[in-house]
Amino acid sequence: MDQFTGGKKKVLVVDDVAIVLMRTAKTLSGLADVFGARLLAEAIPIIEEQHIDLFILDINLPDGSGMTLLDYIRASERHAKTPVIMLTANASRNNIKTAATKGVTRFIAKPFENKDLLTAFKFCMNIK
Amino acid sequence: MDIVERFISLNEIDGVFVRTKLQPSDSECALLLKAFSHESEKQIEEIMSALAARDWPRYCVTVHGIKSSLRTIGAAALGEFAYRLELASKDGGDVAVCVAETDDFAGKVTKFSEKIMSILSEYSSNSEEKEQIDMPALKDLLARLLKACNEFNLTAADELLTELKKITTNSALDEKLDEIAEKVEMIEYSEAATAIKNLKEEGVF
Repeated sequence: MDQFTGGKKKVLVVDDVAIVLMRTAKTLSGLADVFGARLLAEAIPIIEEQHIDLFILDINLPDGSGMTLLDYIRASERHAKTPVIMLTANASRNNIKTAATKGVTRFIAKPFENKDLLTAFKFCMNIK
Repeated sequence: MDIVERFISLNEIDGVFVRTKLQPSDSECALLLKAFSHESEKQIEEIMSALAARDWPRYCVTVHGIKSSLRTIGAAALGEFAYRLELASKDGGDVAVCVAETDDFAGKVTKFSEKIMSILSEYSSNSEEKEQIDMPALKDLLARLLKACNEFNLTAADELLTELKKITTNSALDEKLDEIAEKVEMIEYSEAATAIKNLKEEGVF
């Protein structure tokens, strides 16, 4: 049992592409309650209101960068140590390096396979 | 032939190379492809509008989004085409490429999307029996769905969508419920929430 929710883990996926949100929700169904935001502006209220156990962030979003959101998460008392997976088509060396210095737990390049996401989820949640 | 095989056969269209990484069941594959078609139509409109306005930051963000959708469903060649346009529009770098090639790109994506919809229509089935629902139960279902949409809770919304698709009021209200279901299915939660609130304000439930 999760100490905060008393049940399933809560995952927030921030990506402006609907089918990425859908695939993530389907892949993690049964393992987590998946929340989805297509904009930074949608993500922030969820971060403020929910205790999220894992973030999955895209970098390029219509109203800003996933890196900015990552800074916001790391600066928050509640989520400073919450695992973060970056899921992005911009898997450049520079982005990976920047993400690593900001404390990203895993980096997955798009297009991704479901098993990659599951493996990263289990790693972040300490599930064997 | 199943949906994935039919989808792969879309290689026949000029400019499309499908190397699908879709692994879900037929029904999930159909949902992803439907979402792609639905979303790409809006994205193409947005790209054309940004092009007309020479709004390169908007063009770049939108073409990046459609690139991601194309690659996610495995349409590799069209994904590469989008990537080329994204790079050309980045920081206004080589916008002449965007001006020269966007029409061609839009035409190919539109044709691809139409083919997908044509395939999906062959597989769609509305034969499932629906169960009659009474007003208190419908009110409860819509209230829970509204909460899920407001919270952007994909898991809860998906479960409630399954319930919503199984019920009928055997009245004109069914059409509005179908519209709400369509919005939830396409993860247009703000629009779905507005549609539910409108029903409430109209005193429908």
